[in-house]
Amino acid sequence: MSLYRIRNFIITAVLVVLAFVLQTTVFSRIHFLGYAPNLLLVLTFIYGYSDSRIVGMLIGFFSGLLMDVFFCDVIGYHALVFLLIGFVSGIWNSLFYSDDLYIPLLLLVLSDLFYHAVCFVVWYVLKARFELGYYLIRVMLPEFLLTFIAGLLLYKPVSALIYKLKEVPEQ
Amino acid sequence: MPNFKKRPSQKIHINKESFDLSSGKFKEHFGDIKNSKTARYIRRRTEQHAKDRAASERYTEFSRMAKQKPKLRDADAPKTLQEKGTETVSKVVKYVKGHKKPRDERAVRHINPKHLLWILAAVCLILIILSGVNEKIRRPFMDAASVIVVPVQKGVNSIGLWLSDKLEAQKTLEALEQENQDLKNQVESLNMSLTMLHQKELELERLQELFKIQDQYSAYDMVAAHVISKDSGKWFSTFTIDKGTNDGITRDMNVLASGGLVGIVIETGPGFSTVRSIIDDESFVSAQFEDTSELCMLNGSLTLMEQNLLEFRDVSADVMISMNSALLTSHVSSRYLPGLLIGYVVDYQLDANDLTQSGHIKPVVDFADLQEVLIITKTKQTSD
Repeated sequence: MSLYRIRNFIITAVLVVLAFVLQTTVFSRIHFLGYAPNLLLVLTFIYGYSDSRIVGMLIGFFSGLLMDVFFCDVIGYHALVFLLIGFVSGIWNSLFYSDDLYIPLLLLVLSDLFYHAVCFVVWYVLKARFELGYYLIRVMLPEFLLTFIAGLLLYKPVSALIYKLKEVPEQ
Repeated sequence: MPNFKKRPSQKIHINKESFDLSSGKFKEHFGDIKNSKTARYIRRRTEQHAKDRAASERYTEFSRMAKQKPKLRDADAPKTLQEKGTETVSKVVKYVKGHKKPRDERAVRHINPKHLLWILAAVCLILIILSGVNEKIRRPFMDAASVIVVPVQKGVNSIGLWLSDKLEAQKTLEALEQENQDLKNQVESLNMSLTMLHQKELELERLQELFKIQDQYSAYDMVAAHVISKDSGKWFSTFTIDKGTNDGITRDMNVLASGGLVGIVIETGPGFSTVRSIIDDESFVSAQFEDTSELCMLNGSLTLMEQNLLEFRDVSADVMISMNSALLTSHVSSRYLPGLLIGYVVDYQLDANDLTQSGHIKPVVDFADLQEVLIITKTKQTSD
């Protein structure tokens, strides 16, 4: 493994931990919001979309594991959902021209919708509870908006960083 | 004697002369080559070659024009296209000769993304099943998280606490004087009630002596902890605290704050623990009314979380419920210690079946603003 790959690995790992800490410790402390943008999902999406399916999957898997270890009784649930999001965003990479900002944001919202839909089905529909209207407005919508804003702010710098990291330095 | 020898597979010899680069087609028929990898590769490359050929034709056209108008010579795009064209041809020839794929320049090579997807998905499913069966599977993950993430969280959290302390210090003198006055008044009234309580305590001791009751729940050992992170979404109401197995915390320990029940420890790592609050949708607490000792079931719900309320159910219809009566954890609960204050009744009604009553209680704890909690270092199982 060459030196620049180790550097890329460390930078990516630091980004994931930073996103997790921001999401769970800093943003959830801001009382008047009460909601936090799903930064790990944003990061997974951008990596999958700007790099490749493999990188998207790996980032999704590990950030999902982080969520599971801290907040979920079932280990592997978030990991599986984020893994799929990373994979699919990697597929989209080859379907769309990636320098445009509108399409990635739309796809990011779709990914977030997928995450919430899975949460809703797994934790509520299976328990025969269907208060979808309430969940849609009070649970999903605020987080949607925040995740969208986070994507808007983060997409350009993070994807620029990813392209920068992908450059192989001249020997 | 029949010939059992396997028929030799048809060998295909392809070299530079086998296909016509200018027409993009094979010169001769090669049998069932249509779907082989080689054939697909060559087909793709010959298509590319055709495109490149068109481009180089455009280039010659361009250069012819450029001779007439020398300024156009600066444009370099057609030149690289021609180079690309020759490169493609040489790559095809190299591939056909040596059956070697060109070097892959991606970050992670030699892995098929689909294979990785299946492997990781299988790992996830196995983890989901195992974590349902055996709790020990969490241990390595918790250990890793304690080393990597928790120190960062603690650092960020202490910065946040320091900042809020600084903000607190910015209060005006007037507000502080007002607060001081209020506090003095409060001390007065507290002193009053303290003397009354002291008398009652003496009476209690006397009565306990009389009835030979051992008050086993009067004093619990407690550990204080900071809340270091909260689940950001609204689907779960779990949070993590900065004390773990190193501080003697174990699963199923009860968590208190501002005199009331907050929740229960569901997972522990070396440096942190996860607490599920009683307003979480998954939470169930067996409770009893303080005045009537009637048992009921308390559960959190996502729709009530916002209003900081809990729901109680299954109280039989002939029980008198009074507003503002307190609910405590019951003695029949398997995980919660008995006698911990949960909250006060805010409303109740008879259910449609005319047999049970249900209603809502307001917890004494403000879940929106939890900073410090107390953990009782005693679990129900060991106290039995």
